[in-house]
Amino acid sequence: MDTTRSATTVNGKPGILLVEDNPADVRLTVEALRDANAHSRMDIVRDGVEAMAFIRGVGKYAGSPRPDVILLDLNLPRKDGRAVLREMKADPDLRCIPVVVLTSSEADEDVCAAYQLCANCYISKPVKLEKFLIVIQSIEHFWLHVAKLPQGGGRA
Amino acid sequence: MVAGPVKAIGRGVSHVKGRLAGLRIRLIALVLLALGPALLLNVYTYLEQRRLALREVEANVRRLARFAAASEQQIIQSGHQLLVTLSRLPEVRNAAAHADAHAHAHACKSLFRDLLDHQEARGYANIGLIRADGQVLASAIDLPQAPGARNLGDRGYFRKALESGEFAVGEYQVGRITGKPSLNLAYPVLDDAKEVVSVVFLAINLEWVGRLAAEVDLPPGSTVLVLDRHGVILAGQPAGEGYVGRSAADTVFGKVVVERKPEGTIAGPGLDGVESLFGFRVLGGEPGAGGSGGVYVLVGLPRSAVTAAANRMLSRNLLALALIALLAVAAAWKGGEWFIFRHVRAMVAAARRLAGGDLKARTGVGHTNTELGELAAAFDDMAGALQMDEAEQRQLEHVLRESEARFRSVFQLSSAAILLADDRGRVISCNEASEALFRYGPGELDGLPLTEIMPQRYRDAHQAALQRIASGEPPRLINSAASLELHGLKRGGVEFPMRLSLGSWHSDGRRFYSGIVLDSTDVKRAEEQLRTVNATLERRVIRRTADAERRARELERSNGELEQFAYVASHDLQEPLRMVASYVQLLERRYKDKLDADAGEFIGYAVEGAQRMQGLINDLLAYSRVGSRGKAVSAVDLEAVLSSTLSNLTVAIDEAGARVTHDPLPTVPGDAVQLGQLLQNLIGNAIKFRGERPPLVHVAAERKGDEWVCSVRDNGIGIDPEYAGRIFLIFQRLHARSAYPGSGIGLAVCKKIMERHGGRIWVESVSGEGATFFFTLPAAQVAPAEGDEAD
Repeated sequence: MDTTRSATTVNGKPGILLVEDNPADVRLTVEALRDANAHSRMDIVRDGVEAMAFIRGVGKYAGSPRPDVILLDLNLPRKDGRAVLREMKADPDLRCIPVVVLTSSEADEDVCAAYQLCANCYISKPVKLEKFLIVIQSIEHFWLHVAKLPQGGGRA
Repeated sequence: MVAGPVKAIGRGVSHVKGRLAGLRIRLIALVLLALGPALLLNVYTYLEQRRLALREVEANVRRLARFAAASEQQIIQSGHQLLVTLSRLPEVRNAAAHADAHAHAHACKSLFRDLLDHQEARGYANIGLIRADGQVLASAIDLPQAPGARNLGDRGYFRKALESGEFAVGEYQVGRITGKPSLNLAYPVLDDAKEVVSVVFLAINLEWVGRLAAEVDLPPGSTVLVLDRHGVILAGQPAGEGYVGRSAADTVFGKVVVERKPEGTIAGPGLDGVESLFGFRVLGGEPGAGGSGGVYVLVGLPRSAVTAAANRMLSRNLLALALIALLAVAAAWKGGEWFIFRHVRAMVAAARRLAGGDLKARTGVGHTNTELGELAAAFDDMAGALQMDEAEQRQLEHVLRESEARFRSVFQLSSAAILLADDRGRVISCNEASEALFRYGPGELDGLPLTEIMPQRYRDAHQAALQRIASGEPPRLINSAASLELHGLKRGGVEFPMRLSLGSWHSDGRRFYSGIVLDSTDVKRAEEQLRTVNATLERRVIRRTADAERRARELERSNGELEQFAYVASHDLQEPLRMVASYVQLLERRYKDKLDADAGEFIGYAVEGAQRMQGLINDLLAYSRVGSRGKAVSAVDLEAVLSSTLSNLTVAIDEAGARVTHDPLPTVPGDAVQLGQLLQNLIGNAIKFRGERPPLVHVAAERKGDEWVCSVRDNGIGIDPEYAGRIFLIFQRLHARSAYPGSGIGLAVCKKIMERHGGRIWVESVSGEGATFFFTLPAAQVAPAEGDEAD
């Protein structure tokens, strides 16, 4: 464990990691946050492998700050969201980072599986734009401004 | 001819003999025995009485004797006095002093004579005077002619008085002068010179003895005797009888004289022969003193008088005792009869009757708490028990006979061959069917060893088994539910397949076997055929099963593929949809100012299209899952499903102001989730397709045969019967989407759910007056599953 990695805030702003392979959705999410004038950074990775590297701060992401909250799509190339979730929650160092599963599926089994893997919550992307924007903003607002997150990245 | 009576007599005698030893006699003997002590007591008392009486008599006679002696002493005393007086008389003095005695002697004699006459009563026999030389000077009684009588010089009393000069008492002797027994007293006469010149004597006769008897008032039959020391009777009372002077030395009195006891008693026959008790006492001073002793007075009382009273009493008592004994015997006789023999006879009679076969015989004696009563009770109980036993026995016999008859009928008429064998393996009984089966004639199987009807190869094992069981090993194949498949051997050597059921029982310590043989030749043949047919069928079945399995697997596979396809499809289809919708909307937002109203409308349609597409995809997914994702059938409580459905529909119900009612709903076998979906669709529809009035929905269930017919009735817009079938098809809608939303898949899902549950669904409706959707569910009993499988 790299103990030198500081707490999340860089430039005083909390960081969101968006794990999403669909550029359209990425753009939408970015737009949503911009609309809300959110005081937060967002980092983007395209698949599960990148996601783990970023979270761990290894490889090309060495030195990158730990995210405060992770928005995780389930269907990802290479390593899919479920695997990322499983890996994160199995790692005592990483399991305290809140993970919001953000996916288009409404299927019960997906919901169940996500919670079984200890996802912090499950959001299904609304079709309507308005709703989508509200959801994204709510997530950002709730997780970064309402909920208390562990200091020091939650390291024991 | 004679024999008869003789025999009868003999019988009678032995009868009597028997009776003598009988109870009655013994009882009477006991009673008499009881009286024994009384008798003994009487005898003892009598003896005691007699003894006492005798003692009294003894005392009496002694007293009398003493009295006699005392009387004698008195007489002697008075005699003494007289003699003293006489000795002083001048006549007397003179008579001796002068030689001229005659005149004086005469005077004396007269004097003496006078005195004597007056003294008669006193019992003086003689008064006289004797000169010192012994010559009798004077005597009141005339001297007898015998010369010896004139001189009494040798007399003891004379000599004593002469020599002692004092009063002397002589012996009892027969006086020479008087000739009677008397006692002489003498007193010396002194002259002036105080010399004894003569002796005056007094002869006392023994008549005082007789007087004594009268004075003392002796009882009749008493005797008084005076004996001298030689045993000669000097005097006696009763007088007469002529025994005076006789010697009694050889009688019992002689003993007295000889023994010389001063006083005592002696018993013996009196002179008159009567047994008497004599008391005796010596008279006249001490015996041996001067020789005048040894004279005894005896007073005798007849024994009979003595014992008379005692004897009387005894006889009285004995009489009374005899009377009592008689009464006792009579009482015993009667009492025995009443209390004992009567009952005994009754019991004997009852016993005889019982022995003779009359089991109803009873003693008739009361069952009191006495010995006989108890005996009678015991007897009656025994008789009762015997009677019951006999009745029981008869019943048992009856049952036994019936059982035997039943057995016989089964045994003989059975078409199965039944054989009974003993422990040595020999047939003891068999029925006709077995004879026919084994081809033996009637009775030819009896006694045959079982080995005769079994093939050679079984015989050793059979014998060994018999041995084992005989030596105590418990049999294994006997009485087991299964029968043995063996072969039997008919006469002539023909083997045939058979089934054997073995049984065994014990009787009188011996073991018996029973076997039921069924000829299974036909059965075997049929079995063979069956096997062939079965084999063929099996092969076919296997082939078909393999086919079916293959098909089922393919089906499963295709189902799985389908499901996966549906899942993936819905996912992958959702995303582009979203993209289309989202970006179109984004466009609208970003470039709102630059767009006109038309553009807005166009965008609206585009977005709407995308949304509908999403709805359709979800519905299709749900539809596809009805068949494939169902849970296992379990008992579903429709009421519970309804209430959870209603809570799901709360918003819709409230918005519509709807009221949902229901009848009691049953528990049916099914899939709870899917049935929930069904109800939700139907009730949702009922609320959605409402008219002007607030919707009223009623859910009901009615049992018809072995299924439940449930219904959801509403008061909405109703359905045109023409379309009643079409509405269950997928995506069929009857109204504009703008009027009533929905994809048109709800009822199709309901139908699929019903098909899965083995039920039907249909609708009855009149346009404008609401609709009632009916669906059936089986009413089969399903036990609630122990735990539903996890989905």
